[in-house]
Amino acid sequence: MTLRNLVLMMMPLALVAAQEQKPAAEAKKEEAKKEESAPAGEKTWSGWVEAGARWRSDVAGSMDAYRSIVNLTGGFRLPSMDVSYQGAHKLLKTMRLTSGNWGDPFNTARLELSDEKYYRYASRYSNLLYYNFLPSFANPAAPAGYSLRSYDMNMRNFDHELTLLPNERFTPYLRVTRNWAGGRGITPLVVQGNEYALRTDLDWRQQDVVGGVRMNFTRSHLTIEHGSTDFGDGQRIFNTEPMRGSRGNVPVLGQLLSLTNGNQLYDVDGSSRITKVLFTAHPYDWVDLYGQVLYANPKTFSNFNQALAGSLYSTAPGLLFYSSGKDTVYGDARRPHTTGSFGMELRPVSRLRVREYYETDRQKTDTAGAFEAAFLKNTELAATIRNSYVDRLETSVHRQTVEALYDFSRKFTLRGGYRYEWGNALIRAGSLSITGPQERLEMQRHIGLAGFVARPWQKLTLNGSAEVSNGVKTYYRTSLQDYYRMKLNGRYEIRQDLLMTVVYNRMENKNPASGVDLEFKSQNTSVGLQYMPGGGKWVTVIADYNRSAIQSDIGYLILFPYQQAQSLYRDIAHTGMLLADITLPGSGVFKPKLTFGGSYVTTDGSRPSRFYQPHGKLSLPLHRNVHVFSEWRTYGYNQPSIFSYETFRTNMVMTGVRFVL
Amino acid sequence: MPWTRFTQTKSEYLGGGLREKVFPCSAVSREIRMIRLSRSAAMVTLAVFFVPAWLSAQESQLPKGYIGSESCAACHDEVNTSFQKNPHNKLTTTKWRGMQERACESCHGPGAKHAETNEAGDILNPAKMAAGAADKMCLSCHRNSRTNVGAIQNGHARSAVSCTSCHTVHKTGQESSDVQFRTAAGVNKKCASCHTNVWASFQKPHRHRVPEGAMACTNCHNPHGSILARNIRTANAAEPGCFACHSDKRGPFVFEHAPVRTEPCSTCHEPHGSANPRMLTRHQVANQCLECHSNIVSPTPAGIAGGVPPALHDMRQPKYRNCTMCHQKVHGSNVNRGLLR
Repeated sequence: MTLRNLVLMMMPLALVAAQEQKPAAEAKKEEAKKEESAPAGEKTWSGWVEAGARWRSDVAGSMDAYRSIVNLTGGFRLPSMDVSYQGAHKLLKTMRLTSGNWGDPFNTARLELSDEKYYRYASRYSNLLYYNFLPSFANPAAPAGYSLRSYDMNMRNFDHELTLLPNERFTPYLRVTRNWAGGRGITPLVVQGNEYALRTDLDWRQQDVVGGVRMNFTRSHLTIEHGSTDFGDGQRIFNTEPMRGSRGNVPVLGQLLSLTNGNQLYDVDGSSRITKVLFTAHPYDWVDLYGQVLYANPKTFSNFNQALAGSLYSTAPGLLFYSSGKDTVYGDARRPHTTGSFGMELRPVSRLRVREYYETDRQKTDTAGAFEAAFLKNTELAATIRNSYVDRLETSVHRQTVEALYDFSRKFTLRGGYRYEWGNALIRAGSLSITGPQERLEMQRHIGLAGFVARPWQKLTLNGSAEVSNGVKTYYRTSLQDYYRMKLNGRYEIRQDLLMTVVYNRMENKNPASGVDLEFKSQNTSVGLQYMPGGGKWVTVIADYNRSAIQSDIGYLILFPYQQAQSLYRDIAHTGMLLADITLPGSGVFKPKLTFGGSYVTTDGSRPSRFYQPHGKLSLPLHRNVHVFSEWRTYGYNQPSIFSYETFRTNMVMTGVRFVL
Repeated sequence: MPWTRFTQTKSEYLGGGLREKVFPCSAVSREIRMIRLSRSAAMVTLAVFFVPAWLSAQESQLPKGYIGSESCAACHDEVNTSFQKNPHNKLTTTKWRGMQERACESCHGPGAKHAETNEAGDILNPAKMAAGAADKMCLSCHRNSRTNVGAIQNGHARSAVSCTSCHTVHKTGQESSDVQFRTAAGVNKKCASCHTNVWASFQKPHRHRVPEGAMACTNCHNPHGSILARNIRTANAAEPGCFACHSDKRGPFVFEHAPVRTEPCSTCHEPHGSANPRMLTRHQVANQCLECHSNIVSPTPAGIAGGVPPALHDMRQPKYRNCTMCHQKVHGSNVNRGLLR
């Protein structure tokens, strides 16, 4: 038999074998394909959309306080949405869109698209209305007296990040972040001897464009990121009618003051380069290395123009009454800012971990500016002031920490360590004079660290930590000096369906140096219970109580009239929170759900206040895919003290439908 | 007839790549063709019969003590089904971590003994492991991520809060931490379950919009660690995360208010919530300012800034207790050294 014949004989056998192999391989491929596209039993679209309408009762009390604290309004709303898509499209395997509180003054949305073989895209959006008109914190004479800055503006953030996944070693990404805030408000225009509350238009914005690449190696990782920031801050203050200002009809040297025309334009533009280098490494099983360097060099160019007309006076060029004035200021500031850290974890034996890390933060601000003020009587120039200045601010902070963690057993870990913090700063000090001296400050603290984690039995976990500082030098009177801080967390599973958590924090900071005499204490105790019989299938109750107390004493000197004074601050807050979730009896999916709870906060001390926000919600399934719900909320705030004019109370009801996909 | 037609290279003859020797074609061409055909057929046969067998032998060559995910699925079918939708399932196919076909054992360790005895104690359970050991295991893969660069300074790591305290691995759908953490409410709920005291602060009237779900704890904190204290995120590279939204406070300003650069924002503001408007740490802004601008020049041994500008005003007049009416630019000014405008 020739070789050829032998081969020809074996061919059919090979073909049969190949046929036998083929269906198995194909079936496997098809199965994988099916799984990839839509896992068995999983819908392509899933999630829900909630829509409804809210009715709000009239706000009893201060509408400004209500808008500053709660600010919910009535009307059509999209309270929440969470829609997911899982499919087999060539470039879109998963999509998720979530959003919350559409129609309310603070709403958010998030969109994620991905195909884990090629890319991942996430986009976030938030829009928060910021309304603040609560003058009491600054002006003891409010509301009869004069007010201060107030705001009615929107703050919007957009964030987009696209990550490409070409392979597992290199992951390039691009991120664009845009932050914008704009709106209006009131700003007091302060002119010598008088203040005028003027309308303000505000507009600030910032945009970051950053690209980077993550490099993954078997035992290390490196991320390099570079990009730029552009930002601007614009503010315009203006009046539309003649004003007497806070002085009213009280004359200055026999002359009434007024403002007939005021315009202030404040424009700041800036840019910055951003660089980040991050790395981690695991060269051996007993050592991990971490490091990062972050660098930015923001620069700003500012331009300020003010034009005033009316009956005004100034003492700056000597006592002068003038009818119009113009100020022009140019400024230039730059601040290179470098932050870095390097750390390692060593595991010389299996139970011991030694961590050592160093952090540094350095920034230097160099600035220059020029100022010109012109005072006119009618149309004639009466006086001019010109000035130019340069300034510098330097700060650097460093921290070196070494810490050891030892596992005595699987149930008990003890840690201890030492941290040394030091830094210095160069600041302009001494007086309000532009040419005042510069002062070099130093900061030095030695801090002892300790902590433990105990799990004496599986149902109980205790976690404690403490740090004690011996401050040698510090920057400011109220800064941390000789302090200790301790924290204790406990979790105890009383029964399988009942969990208790306890948190206790305490901190004291003292600076006994003569002329300072700072004493600060804060304490926080929190107890929480979580009851979930049957894994929370029917009932879930979460209840928390918290007591926090702050006490701060520090002396100061009042020059006019000359007297010693003490700044005492006391704040004792009790907070109760409850969340109950009850599934009522029903058949199949038609089980109504009742949710109720809320919180009550009462504070005593320097600013007594009560704030409560109870709520309840009933959800009724009408169909597998349609649920109706009705929600009730009450908000109440009062300050039983001199600030009682800043109180409010309101009720609201919302009814809507949840469509389940 | 071209000369090349009558030649075959040795390398062609042997299937190699080198031109070494020339053979005359005419005499042996038939035989050579026959041999080549036979050899190809033999190769096909070998491939068809033996390569799959060899490959399957290779697949089953698991390291000692390992049994492979398929064996795990035989008992833990429910876990295995949900695991198919889990990002960790990628380990089953990827060569990157060298754990092909034994994704389960990449976290739970070798399962041969457990398969033999059926005892829970014979296999690793990261949820019940000591925090340090669990973290070490998770970080053996996840260390290489940019969010974990600050892991060593992380308070969670120091306090032995392991990865598994927050992250679920087997759960899917709405129960999965991966899904929950995509919404602010999901993140906040998880953080609040331990940080109950912080959550209580958020019930105070003046706070960031966290309870409303407009912000998540992770907007400001990186729970995996940060270069800044309290796991505060950074913005614009090296700045504290507060400036990501409050970009008008970032500067640099021609006239800086030095404490804004040297002290944390929490010196004057309680970011989690306060009974005082604007989340201040004091009930009146005058106290806030006068505690530093105290008119007391501290003696040198106190080691503090001696030249803090004094408060020269007549504090009996309410308008002078309203410091921020005139000193409007307390975070820094480009126009006035006294931070007036």
